[in-house]
Amino acid sequence: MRVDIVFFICYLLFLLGIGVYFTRKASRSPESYLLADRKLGPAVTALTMQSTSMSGFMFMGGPALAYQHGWYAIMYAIGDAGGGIVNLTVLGKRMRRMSQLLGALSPIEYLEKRFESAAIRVVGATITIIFLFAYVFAQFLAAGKTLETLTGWKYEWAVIIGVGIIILYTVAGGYLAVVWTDFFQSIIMLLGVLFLVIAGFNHVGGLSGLNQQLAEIDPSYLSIWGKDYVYYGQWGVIIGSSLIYMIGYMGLPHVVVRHMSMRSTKTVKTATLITAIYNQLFTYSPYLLGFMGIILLPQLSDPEMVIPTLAYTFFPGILSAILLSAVMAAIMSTADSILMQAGTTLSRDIYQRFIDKKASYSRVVLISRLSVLLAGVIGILVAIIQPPRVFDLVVFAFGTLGNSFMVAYIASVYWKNANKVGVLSSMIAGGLSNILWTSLNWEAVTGIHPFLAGLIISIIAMLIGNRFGTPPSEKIQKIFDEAKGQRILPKNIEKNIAKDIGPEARTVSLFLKQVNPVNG
Amino acid sequence: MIKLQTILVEKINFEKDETKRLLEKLDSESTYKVQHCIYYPYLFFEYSVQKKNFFDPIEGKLGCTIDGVNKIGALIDTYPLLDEKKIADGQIVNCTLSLPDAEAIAKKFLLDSILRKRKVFTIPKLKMTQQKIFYRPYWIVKGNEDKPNHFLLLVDAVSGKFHPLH
Repeated sequence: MRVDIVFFICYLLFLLGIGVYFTRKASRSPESYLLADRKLGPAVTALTMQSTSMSGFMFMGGPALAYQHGWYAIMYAIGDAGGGIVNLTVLGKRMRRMSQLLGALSPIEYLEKRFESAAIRVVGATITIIFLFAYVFAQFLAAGKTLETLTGWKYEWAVIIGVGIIILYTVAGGYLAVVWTDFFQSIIMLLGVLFLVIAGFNHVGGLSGLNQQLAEIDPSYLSIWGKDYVYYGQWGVIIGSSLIYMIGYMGLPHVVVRHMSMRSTKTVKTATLITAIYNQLFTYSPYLLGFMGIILLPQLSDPEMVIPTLAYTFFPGILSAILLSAVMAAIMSTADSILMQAGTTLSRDIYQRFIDKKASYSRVVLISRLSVLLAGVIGILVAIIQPPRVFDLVVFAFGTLGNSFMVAYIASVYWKNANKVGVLSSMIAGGLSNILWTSLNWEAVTGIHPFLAGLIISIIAMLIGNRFGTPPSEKIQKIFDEAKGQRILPKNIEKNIAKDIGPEARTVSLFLKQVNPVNG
Repeated sequence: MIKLQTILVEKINFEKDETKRLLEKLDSESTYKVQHCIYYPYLFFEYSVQKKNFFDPIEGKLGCTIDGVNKIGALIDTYPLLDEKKIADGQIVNCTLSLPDAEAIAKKFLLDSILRKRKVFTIPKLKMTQQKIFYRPYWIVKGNEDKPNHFLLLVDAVSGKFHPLH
């Protein structure tokens, strides 16, 4: 058997081992299964967030874009490099605090509780289910096709093996298994791509050699306007390309849930630093390899295969062995997080919220496991059968999720008077405009990227809708102030706060406002 | 006129001076003034647990408290030491939970706790042996009273735990 396949099978077994290891710990309570007891440290938080955000696109679509358009594609890498940092800095601390104060275990439940509206949960859960499932199907399909291409396995078996392992460890170990496997997958992704970039630069004579040769082939490869200056003067497209990943992750439920599972707000600082280092090392590399492909593989028929072809043609041996696992790690680490989130939405936002409100801890954990299993099995069937129209949804998945939820999550922690009407309007208008912009190709007419258009429209809808709603209750306003974290407590007092008497403290705060205290 | 109520109150372990010392020990740069006491409602339940199983028998007593406002359960290791006291109305937080409602929450909470901690396959029988409404004293403490960075703390007079007030 080939070295890369043996390496990959060992890697799959290792991931499965992680799932089995966390099975018992994950079964303790819904909070353990769905949020790892909110006890994740900075390294795991940072790396699970990055590997979840960066899917197989980093090894296939991104390099293909670089291969086709040259340095224009680096705009996506710039967005990606800043995405995690922006996400943690903007939402991290406040969302961590507020989600705990609200007692929310899922990002959709968080929105319902923050804006005090069941309608938000219904609309949010509907959008999440439709587009997260589409996202899951896309990742499963990518997993099957990549494995089929790189190993020669039959597609159906490739899906069952590659995806089956993801489902098994996610069902068993829940969120804990997902974040810890993501942690190791992110390291494999980084190693795989870094080794290739270093070896690649040796072949093309460093960065100067790369640019010199690109200019000789076609000078437009070096411009930010794309090959043959196809996007010349279209700032809306250029900015949108960067913006989609720079801020878009703040609207993805399976990514923002990472803010809710951090150990404390102090985790954010170190997690941001780790994210910054990881992203600078990782995000540009696949695009650089795409540029190298223009020089080293001028006759390549499928640009998506630029990285695998480079690895197997120019760097056989251990590098190509790691590469197979690295490509699959990028796909699997995104797929497991989406699968987990789809399961969470089914169990927490639909079953426990609307079907059995009084379900016991053990029942909720069981339903969560069954939901993940159900989502996974449906995903496998769809990836194998590939029914028409289902994959039409995939095109909209990222942008629609981002445009539906981003403004809502940011407003939840930065706008005290943001209300349910405003948020509902922004969710519906943002999501809908992205779908219309993409499907009717309004980008060609307006020169504005669908994500940028969706963002502008969702902000306008939020501002207008908010005028028609009632302000949040006093309780929510208090929680908002607390989540802002502008405490003036001395450091040692802050450090020793007993969080378990937080509910009592909130009640007493309200009580003191209502009565004139008697000095005792 | 101040109206008084007779209620069951948990014994104070941290008096005013001790509370002040506790906070000053943690943060010597701030000043602390213990203002007054607030009594917070809890419902106490004690159950005898019986599960006759050759391999995994469980027997004994289990107790828990339910927060009388937020309806949150907590396991307790020791029986709370209670005294009857006359307390002014303005110092008592109203209990918004009735005993029957609290009992249902307590039973579910204890069963969930047993199932999670002991990983048992059959549900044990719980028989209630005691139930009481009692009030726990909390100190309201003001930090840095005359400074712009002043703050309020709620300090549990039984355990010494504290949390900021807003």
